[in-house]
Amino acid sequence: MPGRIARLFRNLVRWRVVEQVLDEELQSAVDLLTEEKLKCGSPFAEARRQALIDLGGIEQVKEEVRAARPARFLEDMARDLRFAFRTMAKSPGFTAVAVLTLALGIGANTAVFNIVRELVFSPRPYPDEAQVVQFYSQDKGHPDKFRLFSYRAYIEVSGDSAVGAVFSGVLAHNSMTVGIGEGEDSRRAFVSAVSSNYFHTLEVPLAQGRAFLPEEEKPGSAVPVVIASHTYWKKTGFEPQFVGKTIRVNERPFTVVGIAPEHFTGTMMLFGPELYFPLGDYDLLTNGAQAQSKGSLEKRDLNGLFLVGRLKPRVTATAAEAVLRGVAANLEKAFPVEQTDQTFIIRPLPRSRTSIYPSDERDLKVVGVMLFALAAIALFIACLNLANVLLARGLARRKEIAVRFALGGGRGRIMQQLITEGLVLALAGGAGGFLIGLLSSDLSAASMSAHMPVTISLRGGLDPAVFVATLGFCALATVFFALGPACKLTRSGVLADLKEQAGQNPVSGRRRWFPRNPLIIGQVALSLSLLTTAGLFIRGALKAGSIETGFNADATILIEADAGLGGYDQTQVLQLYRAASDRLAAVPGVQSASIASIVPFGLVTINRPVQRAGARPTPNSHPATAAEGLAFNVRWSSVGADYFTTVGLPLLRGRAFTKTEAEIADSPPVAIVDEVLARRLWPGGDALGRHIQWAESGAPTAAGGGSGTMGVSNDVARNPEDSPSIEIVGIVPATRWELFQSAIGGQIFVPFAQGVRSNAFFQVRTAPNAPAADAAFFDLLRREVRSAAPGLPILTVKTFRQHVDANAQLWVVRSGAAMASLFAGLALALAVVGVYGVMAHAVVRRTREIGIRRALGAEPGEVRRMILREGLIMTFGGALLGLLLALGFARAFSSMLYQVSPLDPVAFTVAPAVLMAAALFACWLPARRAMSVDPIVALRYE
Amino acid sequence: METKRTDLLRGTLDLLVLKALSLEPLHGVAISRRITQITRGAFQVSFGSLFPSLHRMEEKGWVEAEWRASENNRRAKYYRLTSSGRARLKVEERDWNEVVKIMTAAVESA
Repeated sequence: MPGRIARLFRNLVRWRVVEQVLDEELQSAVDLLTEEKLKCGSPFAEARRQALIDLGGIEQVKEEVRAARPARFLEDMARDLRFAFRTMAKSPGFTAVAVLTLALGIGANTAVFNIVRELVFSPRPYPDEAQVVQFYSQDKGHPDKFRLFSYRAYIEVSGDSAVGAVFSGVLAHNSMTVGIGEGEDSRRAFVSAVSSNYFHTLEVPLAQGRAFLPEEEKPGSAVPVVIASHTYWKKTGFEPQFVGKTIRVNERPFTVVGIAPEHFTGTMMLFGPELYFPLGDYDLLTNGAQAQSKGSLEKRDLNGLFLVGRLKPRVTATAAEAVLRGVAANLEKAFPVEQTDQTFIIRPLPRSRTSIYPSDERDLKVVGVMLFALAAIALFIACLNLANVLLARGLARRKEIAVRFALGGGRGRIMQQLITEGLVLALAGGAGGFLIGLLSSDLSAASMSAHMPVTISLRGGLDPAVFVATLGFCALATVFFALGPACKLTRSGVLADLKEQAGQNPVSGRRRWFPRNPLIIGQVALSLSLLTTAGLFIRGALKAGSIETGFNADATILIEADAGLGGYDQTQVLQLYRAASDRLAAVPGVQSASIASIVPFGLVTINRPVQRAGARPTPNSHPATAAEGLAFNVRWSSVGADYFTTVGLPLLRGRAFTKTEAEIADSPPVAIVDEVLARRLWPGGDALGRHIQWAESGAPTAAGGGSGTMGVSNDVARNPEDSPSIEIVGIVPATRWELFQSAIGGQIFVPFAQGVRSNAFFQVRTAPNAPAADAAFFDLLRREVRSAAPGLPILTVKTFRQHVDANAQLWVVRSGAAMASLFAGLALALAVVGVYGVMAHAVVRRTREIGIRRALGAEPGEVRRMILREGLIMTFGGALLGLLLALGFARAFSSMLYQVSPLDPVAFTVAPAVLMAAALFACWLPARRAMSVDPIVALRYE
Repeated sequence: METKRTDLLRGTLDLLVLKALSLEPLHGVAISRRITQITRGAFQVSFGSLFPSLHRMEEKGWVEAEWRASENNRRAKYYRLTSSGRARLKVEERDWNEVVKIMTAAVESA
C-alpha cells in the first residue's frame, strides 16, 4: 500500500517525468515496429506509417495508459487545472473581465446581504429573543397617542407581584447624546442610561467587570460609573486593565466598572450606544441638553423611560398584556393625575428603532428587500454577461475542441476539462468577491458611522452561508455556460467544425439578423433598466442636494457648540452665548451674527403643540379649527435677536426679537411664527398681535406636523412653567427644515432666553465683499468664540451648505444614487463587452458572405453600415424590453425617489441615448473589421 | 477501438502477459509478438490494451521495468517478472483452471 501511495504521489507531482518516460517508451515501440517493417523491404516512410497504424497512434495509446492509472481522476483534475490556468493566461482580457464580473456580482451581493441581515433578521445577541418585549403606554381615549414611563411607574410595574409572575425581569432605559472627552476636545456620542438589571434581564453576560448596583440606579444618586461598549473599548485599542480607568463625559470623570460583550448593541440591532450609565446619572447627563424638560427622574410626571421586559418561558404576550392592563388600571386609580387614561400594551422589541410608538417595522423589511433586489439584479446581469462571454469564447474554440474530439478525447473528458475551467474562473471570481464583500462592508459601516454619532456594530466578516450560496450559484452558472461549446459540438458534428467556419451556417434571407442571441437581448434590457433607475436616483440626489433652503447657504456660517458638554448649567449657558454672539458680530468681515438652538437639516428637531390662548376644549370634544381650540404640532426653535437678518429671512410683518427679549429670561413671552402657522391659527385674519399658548399633552392636535425621520425628535408639550399667553410679534415666510417633508411650513420661534438649550448654533453672516469663508476664517471665528467664552466646547464650524450636505437623510439619498450608479455602470460595461463579443463573432462567422457582397460590388462603407445597423437593431430590441423593465422598476422604487416622478422624461431619454451610444461604440470595431475583409481571401474559404 | 474485446480479455490479458514474461524479460512490442506466438496466432493484442496493462502491473509491483539495448542496439524498455509477479502468475493460472472447470461443467450439464 505505501508503495502505491508513493507511486500516486509520483504520478501527480513528477508528472512531467512520467509523461516523458511514457513518450520515450512509445517512441521506442514505434521504432521497433518500424524496424520490423523495414526488414520486409518497405521504404522508410511507408514502414513508419505502418508502424504507427500498428501501434494504434501514439496519443491514443498514451490516453489508454493514462486511463488505466488508479489516480486517474486526480491526475486528470491536475492536468485540467494546469490547462485551465494556461488558457486563462493566454487571454488575459477575457479572464480579467470574467473574474471581475463574478467578483463584483458576488461581492456586492454578499455585502448588501450582510447589512440587511444584520438589520433585519440576524439573531439577537441574547437568548430567547422572542420573549423580550417592549412596553408602551397608550392613551385609552386616543389610541394613537403614546408616551414614555416615569421612574415611579417603572418601580411600581416591575415590583408588582402579578408582573413578577409572568416576567422574569423588567428593565428601563433611555438614550441621549453626551460629550466624551478626547484630549482637549469633546466629541458627541450616543449613550444610554439603564436600570441596574439591564444586562441581567436581557441575559447578556458582561465581557468584563460588573453590572450596575441598585444603589446606582436611584434617581439623583449620580454615582459616576459607566459600562463601556465593546466598540468603545476597541477604539481605545483594547486598553489593558480598562476596568477602573476614567472616561471624561460632559467634563466629568466617570469610572469604568464593566465592559459589554462584543456584538452587543443594546436593544437595537446594528446601531448602539457607546457607553452605558446607571439611571442615577440620568439627571446629570440630560438636564444640560434638554433644558425643556427640567426636573429629576424622581418626579412622577417626568415620563422619560422606555421599558423592556423578558417574558418567563412559555408565557404568551397576550397573557402578559392582560396582567399589565390590570397594573395600569391600578396605577390610574392610585395616581389619577399622572396616570389618567393610560393603559399598557406590549409588542416585540423593534430592531431598528427605539420609539414611543409601536411599529411593525414593515418599512425596514421593504428597504432590505429592495436593497437586496438591486444587488441580485447586478448578479444576474453579471451571470448573463459571463454566459455571453463564455459562449462566444466556446464558439471560438470549436476547432480546438473538435481536434481533441477527433484525436480520441472522450466527450466526457472534454466536458470535464471545460467544467474545470469554469470552476477555476468561478473560484477566482469568488475569491475576488470575498475581498470586495469584506471591503465594502467595512466601507459602508465606516461611511455610516461618519455621518451619525452612533457606533455601528457590523458583525465582521461575511455570512458564510450567503457567500457559499452566491458562489455556488455563480459556479453553477459558469460551468453551465462553459459547457456550451461541448454540447453544441456533438450536435453539429466534428467535420463541420474542422472546416473553416466562414459562412457555414446557411440561414435564410430575412432572418439573418434576427436576434440569434437571446442572452444579449436580456443583458441589454437589464442594463437599460438599471441605467434608467440610476438616472432617476441621480436626479433625485441632485434635486436633494440643491434644495431650496430659503437661506443664503454659502454666506451663512454655522458654529455648533454645546455648553452642556462643558458641564455648564443653565444660567452660565445664557451668559456664555450672549458673550460669544456679541464678540462674533464684531469680527471684521461679519455682517451680522446670531444664535439658534435648532437649525434646519440638523440632527435634532423639537416639536411643540400650539393653540390659541385661552383655548380649553372640553375633554371629549373634537375641535376642527383653531377657533374651537385645535392645537397644531409645529417645529420649534429659540433664536437670538438678529437671527432673521443673519440668515436672510425677511420679516413679512411685525418685528424681530429685541436684544432684551433674546438675552433676559424674564421678559414677557413673545413668539414669531411662519405664515403657514399664522394662517392655520387665524384663517381669516391676521395673527400678528394675537396670543397663543402651548397645548397640553393629549390635547386634540391637527394631523401632520414636523417629525424628523432620522435623528432625534422630541415632542414637548406644555410645561408647568410655561406662560398661559404668548404674544405673536412677527410673521416670517415658511421654509423647509428637512429633506423628506411633504408640506412646508408650521414653525414657531421664541427668543433664545425663553428657550435656552445648551446645544446651540451661532449663525454668522459674512459681508458681501468679505474674504471667502475658508479654513483660516473659520479658525478666526473659533478663536473669537473661545476668547469670549473660554471652556465652551465647540463642535463644528461649517457653512450652511456644508451642514446641509452632511445631513443624514441626504447621505441616504446620495448613497442610493451612488449604489444605483455603480450597478448601472457595471451593467453598461458588461453590455458593451457583450455586444462587442456578439458582433465580432458574427463578423467572423459571416466572412464568406461579406466577401461575396464585396465581390458583387458593395463598398466598404456599405458593409460597415450593414454591420452597424444590425448591431443597433439588436440593441434596439433589447432597449425596448429594457424600457418596459425600467418603468416597472421606477414604479417599485418610487417611494425612494426624491421629488422625482417615476416617469421623469430626462432620465428616460438620457439613459437609452447613453445605451445606444455605447452600443454604437461596441459595434464600431467589428464593423471596421468587416470593412477590411478582402473578398478574395474570404471567398477562398471553401 | 476494441473496447469490447479488452473487457473480455482483461483478466486473461494479465495472465497472458505474465506467462509471456515468465521465460525472459521482454519489451512491449516483443511481448505482443510473444502472446501471438503462445496463443498460436489466435490473439493479437492491441498496444492500446497491452501498454495500459503493463503499466498497471508495474504499479502493482508484479513487473519491473528497465531500459536496455534491444537486439539491434535500440533503446527499449524491458519488463521483467518480480517474485510477487511469479506468485501472481501461479495464482492466475490456478484461478483460470478453476474457471475452466466450472464453465465446462455448467455448459455440459445444461
